[in-house]
Amino acid sequence: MSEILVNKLTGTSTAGSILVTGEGNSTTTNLQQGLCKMWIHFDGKTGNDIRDSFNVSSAADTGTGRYRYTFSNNMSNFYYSYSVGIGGGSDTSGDENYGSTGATNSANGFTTSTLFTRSRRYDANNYDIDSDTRQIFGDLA
Amino acid sequence: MALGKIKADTLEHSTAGSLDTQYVVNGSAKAWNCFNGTGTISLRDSLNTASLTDNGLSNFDTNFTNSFANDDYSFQATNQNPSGANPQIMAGTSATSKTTGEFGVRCQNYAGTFSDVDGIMTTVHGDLA
Repeated sequence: MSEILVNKLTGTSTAGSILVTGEGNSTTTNLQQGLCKMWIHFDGKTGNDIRDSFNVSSAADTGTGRYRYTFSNNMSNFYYSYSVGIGGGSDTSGDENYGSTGATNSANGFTTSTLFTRSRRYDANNYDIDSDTRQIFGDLA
Repeated sequence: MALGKIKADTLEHSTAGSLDTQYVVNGSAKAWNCFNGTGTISLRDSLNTASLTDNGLSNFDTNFTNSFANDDYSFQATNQNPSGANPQIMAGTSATSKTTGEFGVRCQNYAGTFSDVDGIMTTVHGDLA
């Protein structure tokens, strides 16, 4: 088994672009583009604390079901793609499936340095939730 | 300068630990995109997304540049409604609109009505062809 000891990977032709051969052994995908640039598991119900995260410098509870996550390293634009997984608003059967929610605040939710989120339940009310998880794919500044 | 090529099974950082390169190959997102789902739809930013197809009210196909090996890939979809008035939920996709070359997404509000939204974001993990 081969092993490379390294602290930093940099492309030779373009520093920020390294290709990885895909599972089919022919098509390549861009390593930097495909890496998750931010993820977080936030307790929004009791502790309002970050349980674990990557590229997150702070998190804030801005209201019922509303959270603001600030990045350690900014994105280059606010057209990144983010995914969401949420659950644990209450112990009532059926309350776990909140679905995806729009990220909303007075600044429309997205910036290059922060992600504002809101979690709603099927009854259209905002709810604080036990586990708010988000992942961002996009371009770092 | 000629392109470099490294073949390795493990990457090891001096302090952060090591990583089997299968996680780089299998764990990297193979496609993601952010697009405007209202009016004339358009890609805002993306990876491995050749184009979008507007099939009607809140009915979109995202077409891959490089196809997947199968249609068993994992995808996530989220959306943004800038007004904040009526957050949408993603309705997922039908079996016929999830192929190796594309997958479809739909959005509906809490009343169960399909509606276009300003920002739709998707991510796909799986095996490239």
